[in-house]
Amino acid sequence: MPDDTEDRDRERALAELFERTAARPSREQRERLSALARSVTERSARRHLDRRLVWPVALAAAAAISYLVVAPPRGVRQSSSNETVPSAKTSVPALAAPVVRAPKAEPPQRNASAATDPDDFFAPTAADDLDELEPLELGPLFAPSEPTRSAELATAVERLGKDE
Amino acid sequence: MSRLIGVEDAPMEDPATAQERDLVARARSGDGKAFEELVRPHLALMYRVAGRAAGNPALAEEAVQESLTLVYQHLGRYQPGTSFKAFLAATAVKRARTLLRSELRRRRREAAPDDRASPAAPADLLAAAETERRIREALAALPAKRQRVALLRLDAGLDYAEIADAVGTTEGSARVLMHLALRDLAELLKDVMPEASLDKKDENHAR
Repeated sequence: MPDDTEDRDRERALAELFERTAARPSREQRERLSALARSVTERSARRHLDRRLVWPVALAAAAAISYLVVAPPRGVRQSSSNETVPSAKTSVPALAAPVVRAPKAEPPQRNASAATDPDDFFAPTAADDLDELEPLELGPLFAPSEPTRSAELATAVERLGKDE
Repeated sequence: MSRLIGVEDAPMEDPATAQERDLVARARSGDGKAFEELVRPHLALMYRVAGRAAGNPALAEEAVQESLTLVYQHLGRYQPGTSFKAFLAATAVKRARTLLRSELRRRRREAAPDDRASPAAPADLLAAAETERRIREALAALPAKRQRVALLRLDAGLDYAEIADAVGTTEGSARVLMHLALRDLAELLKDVMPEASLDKKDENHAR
C-alpha cells in the first residue's frame, strides 16, 4: 500500500520543480494556436471532401487505363475476324480490312484464268508482273514503230538465204 | 405521472458541462468559433505538457497544432461529462511523444548537432534549462504509462479520475502508477528537488 504522506511530500516537491521549469506559450503562440483551432474545422471538412473524392478519381483513372490498354488488341481481333464493327480507336485497320480483303479473295482465280485465257490481258497487270506482258498485236494498220521479234527473224532468214 | 417521476429523477446537469456539450455539438457540425471557444482555455496546458514531453518549444507548438486537428477529428469519441481538459492533455502528450520520437530518429539519421540550444543565456536560465533537461531525462527513464500519468498529474494537474479516463485505466491503477512514478522521479531527481522535501524524506528514512 502506498505511503500517502511520503507520496504527498514527493508530489508537492516535484510539482514545484515542474512548475518552475514549465514551458509557457508566448502571446503570439497562443494567438496562432487559437487561429488554428478556429480554422481546423474548415481544413478538416476540406480534407474529408478530398478523401471522399479519392475513390471516384481512382476508379475513373483505372477505367481510362483499362480502356487504353485493353481496347486496341480487342479492336484488332475484331477486324481480323472480318466482323465489321469498327471501334473508335482502331478505325484505320478496321476500315482498311474490308477494302483490302474483297479483291484479295479474287486474285488467285484471276491468275489461273489469265494462264488459260490469253485474251484477259488485265490479269498480268493485276498480278503486278510486268515481265509477263506481251506486245499487243493490233494488225497491220497498227504496226508498232519498232520491229517485232518475228519480223527481225524473218529478215535474218532472208539474209541468210541470199548469202548462201 | 411517469413523465413527472422521470423529470424529478433526472440528475441536474452542471452548467459548465451543459455549455461544453453545446460547444462540442456546434464544433462537430463545423462551427470553428465553437471549437476555438472549447479549446482556448486549455491551450496553455496543452503547450505545457507537450513541451515537457517533447522538450523543445518548436516541437511543443507543432504537437499542439497537430493535437487540435486530431481532437477535432476524434470529437465524436469524446464522452460528454468526462473531462475535456484530460482529453486534450492526453492527446497533446501522445502527439508530443510521437513527434519527439520521429525528431530523434531524424537527428540520428542526419547526425546533426542540436542547433536550438542557446549558448549565450544568463546563468539562471542555464540552470533552469539544465533542471528541465534532467526532468525530461528522468521522465524518459520511466515506463510509458507511468510517464504519462506523471505528466498528466504534475504538469496538467489532473485528478485521478481524469487521469484514469485519459490513460484508459481505473482510478486505483492510476494511483498506483503515480505512486511508482513519484518514487522513481524522487530518486532520479534527488539532487535538484527542493531542500524541504529532501529533509522530510531523510527524516522518514531515519524513522
